[in-house]
Amino acid sequence: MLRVFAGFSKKMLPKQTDVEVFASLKSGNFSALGTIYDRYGEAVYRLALRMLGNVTEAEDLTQEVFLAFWRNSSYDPNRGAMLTFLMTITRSRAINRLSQKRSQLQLVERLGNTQPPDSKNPLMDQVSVSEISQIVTEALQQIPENQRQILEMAYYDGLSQSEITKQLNIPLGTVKTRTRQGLLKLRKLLTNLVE
Amino acid sequence: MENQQAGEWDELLAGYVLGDLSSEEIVKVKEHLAQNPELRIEITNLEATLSLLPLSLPQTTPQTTPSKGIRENILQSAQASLISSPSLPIWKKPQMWIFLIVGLGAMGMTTLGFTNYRLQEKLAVAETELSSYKDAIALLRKPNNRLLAIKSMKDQQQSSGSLLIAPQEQTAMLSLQNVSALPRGKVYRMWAFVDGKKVACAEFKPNAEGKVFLKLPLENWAETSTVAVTIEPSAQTLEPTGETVMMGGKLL
Repeated sequence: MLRVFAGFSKKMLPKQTDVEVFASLKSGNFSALGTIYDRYGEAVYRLALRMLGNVTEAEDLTQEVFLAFWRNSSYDPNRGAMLTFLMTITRSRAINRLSQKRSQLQLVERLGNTQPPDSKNPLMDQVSVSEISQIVTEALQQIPENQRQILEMAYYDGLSQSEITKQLNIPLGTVKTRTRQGLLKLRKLLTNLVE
Repeated sequence: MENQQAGEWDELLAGYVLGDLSSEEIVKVKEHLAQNPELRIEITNLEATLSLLPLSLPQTTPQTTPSKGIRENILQSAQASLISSPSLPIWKKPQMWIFLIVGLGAMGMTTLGFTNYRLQEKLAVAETELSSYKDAIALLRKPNNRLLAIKSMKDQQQSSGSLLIAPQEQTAMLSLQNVSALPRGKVYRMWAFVDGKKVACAEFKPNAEGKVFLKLPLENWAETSTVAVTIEPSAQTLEPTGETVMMGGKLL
C-alpha cells in the first residue's frame, strides 16, 4: 500500500505554496520562475528527454515550457496542480515536435485529451516532486508488466493502438484493454494524489 | 449487471482520456457524460493520473539532470522579456536575422526585370510589395516572435512559405508561394494545433502568381508550434475535412 501521507511533512520543500509562488510570478517577479524551475525543472526535463530522446532537444523544450509558462500561461492555480499542468504541456509540446519529425498529422489527432486536467488536490502542494516520484514508481510496480508496458508506449512514444499491435504482435482488442486497465489501476493507486 | 456496466463505462472513460476510442464510442461517451455530468470529475482524475505517469522516470542518472545553464537561460530570457528587450535566445542568432531580411528582400527583388524598361516598370511593383513587407520586417524586430516554416506535403509540389507569429502585436503574417489554384467552391484553410486541438485561423486563395500574403489576427492560437493547411469547401468547417496539403513547424 502506498504511504502517501507518511513522512512527507518532515521534508516539505516549500515555505511558499505553488499558489503563492505563481501569484508572485504573475505580479512580474521573474525570480519566482526560478523557484518553479527548482521544483519542477527536473521532472519536465526527464519527460522531455524520455520523449525526444536527446539531451539538446530536451533542454530546448524545457526552456520553452518554462518560458511559455512565464510569458503567457493559461494556468489557473484554483483548477489544478502546477506539476500536472507543466507535465501535460511538456508532453503536448514534445508530441508536436515528434509529429513535425514524423510529418504525420495523425500523431497529433490520436493523443486523446492533451488539455491540462482541472483538478485541485491539496496534497500536491505539500509533497515534494521526489516523493511524488516515489509514490508513482511504487504504484506502477503494482500494475501488471504487460499493462504498464503498453501504457508507457502510448504515453511516451505517442504510438497508436495499431502501431503497438504491430510492435508487440498482439490483437488490437488486447492492446486497448490492457492500456485502459493499466490506467484505471494506476488511478486507483494514486487516489490520494489525484482526487 | 450494474457493476458490469459500471466497469464497462470505466474502461470507456479510460479510453476517452487515452484517446483510443472509435468515433462511435466517443459519441457514446459524450452522451453518457451529458447525462451524468458528475462523471467529468472521474475524467479529470484519470487525466491527472496520466499526467503523473512520467514522475516514475528514473531520477538519479547524470543524464536525467538538465545542465545548470538551463535555469540561468530561462531566467535571463524571462528578464529580457520583462524589459521588452529583443535579446531573447532565438533572436541572439544574427545569422538568422540576415537570412530573414535577405529572404524578404529577395522576394521583392524577384519582381524586377532584366531590361531597363522592365526594371523601371517592375520597380514600382517591387516598391509596393516592399512597403507591404515593411510591416513584416517591423514585426520581426519584436521580441517573443516565432517563425514557422511551411512546406508542401507532396514532393512534386513546390509550395512553401512561412508564418510569423507576433504575440505582442496579436498578429501573424502568412507568406506562401507556388500555391496551386483551386476549383470554384474550394478554399485553403489553415489550422493551428493548440494543445492537441485544431483551431481554424485563416482561409485563403493564391493570387494569379500562386502567392499568398496575409495579415491575420492571432486570437487563441498564439502558442502554436504546428500548423496544417487543408483544402476545404468554401462553407466554414469546424474541423479539417479535406486533404492536408501543407504543414508548418518551428523554424526559430
